[in-house]
Parts: sequence; structure tokens; C-alpha cells
Amino acid sequence: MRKVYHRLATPESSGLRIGFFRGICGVVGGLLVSYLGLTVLACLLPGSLGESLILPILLFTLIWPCAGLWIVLSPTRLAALSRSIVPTLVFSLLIFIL
Amino acid sequence: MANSPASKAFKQRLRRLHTVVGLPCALLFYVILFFGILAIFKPYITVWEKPSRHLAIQETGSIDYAKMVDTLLADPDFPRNKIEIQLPGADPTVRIRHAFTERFVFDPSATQRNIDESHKSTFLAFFFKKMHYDALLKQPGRIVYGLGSVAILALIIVGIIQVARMRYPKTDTKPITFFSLWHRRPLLWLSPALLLLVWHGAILNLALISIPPMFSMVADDEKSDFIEVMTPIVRTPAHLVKRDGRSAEMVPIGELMEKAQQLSPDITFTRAYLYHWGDANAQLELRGINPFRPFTHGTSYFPTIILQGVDGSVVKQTEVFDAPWYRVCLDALAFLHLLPDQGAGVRLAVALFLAGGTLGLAYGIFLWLEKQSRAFAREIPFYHWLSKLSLAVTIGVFPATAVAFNLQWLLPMDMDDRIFYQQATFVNVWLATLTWAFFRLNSFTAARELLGIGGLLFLAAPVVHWLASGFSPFAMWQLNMDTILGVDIALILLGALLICTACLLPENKKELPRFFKLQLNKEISA
Repeated sequence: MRKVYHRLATPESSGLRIGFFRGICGVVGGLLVSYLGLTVLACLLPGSLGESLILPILLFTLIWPCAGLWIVLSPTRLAALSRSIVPTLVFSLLIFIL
Repeated sequence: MANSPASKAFKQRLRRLHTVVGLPCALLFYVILFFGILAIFKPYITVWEKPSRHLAIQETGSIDYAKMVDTLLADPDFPRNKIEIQLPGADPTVRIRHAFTERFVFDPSATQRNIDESHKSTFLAFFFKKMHYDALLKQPGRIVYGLGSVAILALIIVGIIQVARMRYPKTDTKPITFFSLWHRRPLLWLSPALLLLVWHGAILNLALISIPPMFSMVADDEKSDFIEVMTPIVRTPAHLVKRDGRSAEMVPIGELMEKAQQLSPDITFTRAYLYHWGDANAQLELRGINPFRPFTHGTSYFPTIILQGVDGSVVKQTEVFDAPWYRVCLDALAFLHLLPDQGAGVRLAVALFLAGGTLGLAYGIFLWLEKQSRAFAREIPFYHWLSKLSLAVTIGVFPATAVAFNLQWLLPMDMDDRIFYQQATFVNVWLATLTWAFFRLNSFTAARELLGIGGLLFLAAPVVHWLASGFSPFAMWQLNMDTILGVDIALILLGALLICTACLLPENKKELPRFFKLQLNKEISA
């Protein structure tokens, strides 16, 4: 376990390969982070149900690639993992609370 | 920080991401842009492809809409509430329909009914539009295109970060620097427009699958349906008129339109709706766009004016900025993509800019291939599957499209399954260009041949059209059929451009410097 942690936490010597791990974190993590984050936004926005949903729906397709890139371009694979998991958990909790 | 290992790895990752995402997406993006440019001209191609729109246009002052409506209302079973009239614009005819009837097409000068072609007999402009967003594969195609556009968005953003973070030589004297410069320049200039276009395209394609989960998480009661909730947000709710029951004399529609035009002089009206026409409480709604206020309305919100049918008094009048904020957002996002009711000048400008974008894309693929080819000695011919595939996709699409234009007027209009034959030939010609690209060792020869054939076919399409439709270009000019003649001229210009490019293209890689006027020769001799 510690071995895996160390391997993930050490920055790769070069960025010539993106790697499967970062790729999955970027696409799936980016999807979850952006979608759940925008769902929180939809919960917070005032107005009727349709009015509060429209802005998050419009923003979703733009925020997804942004979040994905933020995750893929993180310095280590551990950072990529935490950048996709931590916001996902925080947003899910917020959706439960709201 | 600038040269630290972390910064170096970050830049390497940027470059790698741009290649990994770019190579699969570039060809999809090219196809989307190519058919998108054709879809920009959909209103004109729709008129060009239909015999019923080949009408002599006379400069009559006003069109007798009342007579057209009366011919339809003579049928007692024809529905009376919310009859839609599409006013002449790019399409010279007046089109009248109701949600529960077929569409009736009227010649505005003769006030007589023409026979409208169904989608089963002519489907050219719609076909190009469908190739632009789902390749006729319905929902699966939409999802693939939608996910592709999300990837393209990531690609554009990575490209912008790259240009901001890295230094590039500003010369274009070597093939690599030339391709790099002309990949960056047009796409960087166009990136705000491309971001807006691709973003909106992704919304359109993915909305149906991206709304329901969020809706179920946010909605309090689980019974409500997301389509019911979202429809009044993205569409103006229907105007409801109560029927009085007594019949009455109506003010002629033409007079009502003139009055509406005086009341809102800035608005170009495109559609009219008749509510309970002939009833004492009949109303006429006119919808239009304000050409001086782009990016604010035109797809989900329209300025309208509603007049009473009996005396022409104003029931309701709305201006551009009367829309709720979310509809202004929607329309601002959609404007550049859908160009609602815009004229030929705006469409042509957008199309030319995007054509520059397709060149930038092609140079991006060239750049990668040029880097690959450096692994081989100059004497060895470079034969790469991606170069052949890109050749067939980017240049092979021209002959295929030209064939579709030719077949539109070559196949008899009453032929069974003519749409099927037209589209099947289109696909087969495109596949044939792929075979040809792989068959020819020298990509330059293949490109010249495909461009030449495409150009000749584009030159042939207007001739076929003139012969089959029975209208010579001179006759069309005399009869004011500007739109149709315009499409013919555009096809000729495109054909000539393709043939010129075919003649100018070098015959092999050694002649490339002459084509780009580069200084490679000096380097080779040095």
C-alpha cells in the first residue's frame, strides 16, 4: 500500500506520456467534479426549478473539459486522484445536505 | 520556476495532450466544420434543390396573404387556431401550415398553390445539416458528436494554454515552422468563435442526456418530468386566445402587417400566426428579428406584436430586451451557431472565417506528419495511414459532396428512393476516395486528382441544374431568381477554386518549397 502511495506521489520524470491513470482521472473525474459541482450550483441558484437548472446545463459542457484538464495536468498522479476524488466527495455531501 | 523539472513536465504534458486528443478529433472537427459551412447556406440550398421554389419573382408591392389563407379556410375542416405563415425571405414562397396539417406552399405573385416536395423526394440541405451534427445516426450519432465536441473544447483550451506558455519561432521558412505557424495563427484568431460554436454544439447534442440526472437530484417531487419543466424556459410559452363564437369581417392581413411594421420599424418580420381567424376575437401575431441587436434574440425569444383581427388594435407588443435573462443567455450562446434569419453577408463572412479554420486544422495534421516523416531518409517515400486517411477525409469530401449536388438534379424528382441513391452514392464516392488515397503512393498526385475531379464535378452541378430545371442562368437573372442563381455561382466559384488549387499543388515533396516559397533549397545545399 505504502509502495503504491509512493509511486503515485512521486512526480514522473517526464510528461511525454500521459498514462492511462491520469487519462481516466481526467475524463471520469472531470465529469463527476463538473457535474456534481454544477448540481450544487443549481441547488443554490434562486428562482423556479427550470430557471435554476438552465445555467448549470449550459455551463456543463464547458466546465467538463476545464475540470478534466485541471486534473490531467496535475504535477503527480496522486494529485490527479485527489483532485478528482476530494471535490466529488465534497459536492456529493453538499447535495445531500442541501 | 521557468526551467524546473515540474514546469518542463507540465509543458511536455500540454504538448502530448494536444497531440493525443488532437489527432483523433481533428478529422471529426474538420467534418463538422465542412458540413457546418454547408449548413450555414441551408436556406439557399433548400431553395436551389426544390423545383417548387423556382419562381419568377415580381416586384409586387404587397402580397395578398388574405387570399391564400381564404383558399385554405374554404375547407371547413381546416384548423382555425394558430395557423403559421412563414413570410418570404431567402425562400421566395409563402409557406402556410398548422401543427395538424401538411405545409402549403404559395407562389406570392400569382397567389396560387404550388406542390411542396416532401423530405422523401428532396433532402440535400437537410442531409448536409445532419452530417454536421449526427451523420444520420440519430441519438447515438448525436452522443458521439457531442462527446467529440467536449474533447475538441479541451483541445482548444490546451492549444490556447500552449500558445500562452511556450515560445515558438516566428519564421515560416521550414516546413515544420511553416505548418506550426499557420496551424497556430488562424486557429488562435478564431478560438473565441470556435469555443462559442463548439460549446453550443455540445450543449445541443448532450442536453437530452445531461439534464435528467441533475433534474432528479435537484427536483423536490419525483413525479415531475424534465421536458415539462424545461420547455417553458427554452421556448416562449404559447399565446392563448379565447374564441368568441361569432364570426366577423377581418382586416386584410397585408394591412395589419403594414401597421405592425409602422409600430415597430426596426423589426424584420419572418413569421405570422393567425389565432381563430374569422372569429370576432381573432388575433394576428407577428414575430421577427431586430438586425441591429445581434446576440440577444432569435432562437428562443423573438420580439412580437399581436394585433386584433377585427379592428387592428394592439393587444401586446414586446421588444428585444423584454425577454427573461435566461432566454437572453440562450440566444447569445446560440446566435453565432444558428445565425437565426441572418442575411447572406453575415453567413458568407462566418463561412469564410470558418474555412480559414479548416485550413488551420489541416496544417495541424501536416505538422504531426512532417515530424513523423523526419524519421525517414528524404529518398524514402513517406507512406503513413493517417496521411492517407486525412487526405480522403479532407479532400475526398469535395468530390463526394459535388456528386450529391449533381445527383440532386440528375435523378428524376419522382424516382422511388432517390434520396437513398443520392446518399448511398455520396458515401460510396467518399469511400472510393479513401481507396484511391491508399492506392496512390504519392499523396500529392492523389490530392491533385481528387481536387481536380471535385472541381470538375462542382462545375458540372450548375450545368446539370440549368438543363434539368429548364431555367438558363440568363432567364434566372431576368426573373430575379437571385438566391438560386447565387448558389449556382457559388458552386462554379468553388469548382474553379478547387481546380486552381489542383494546378498549383506541387507534384512531389521536393517541389513543396516552391509552393510555399520557402528557403529549404538553401538549407539542403548548405
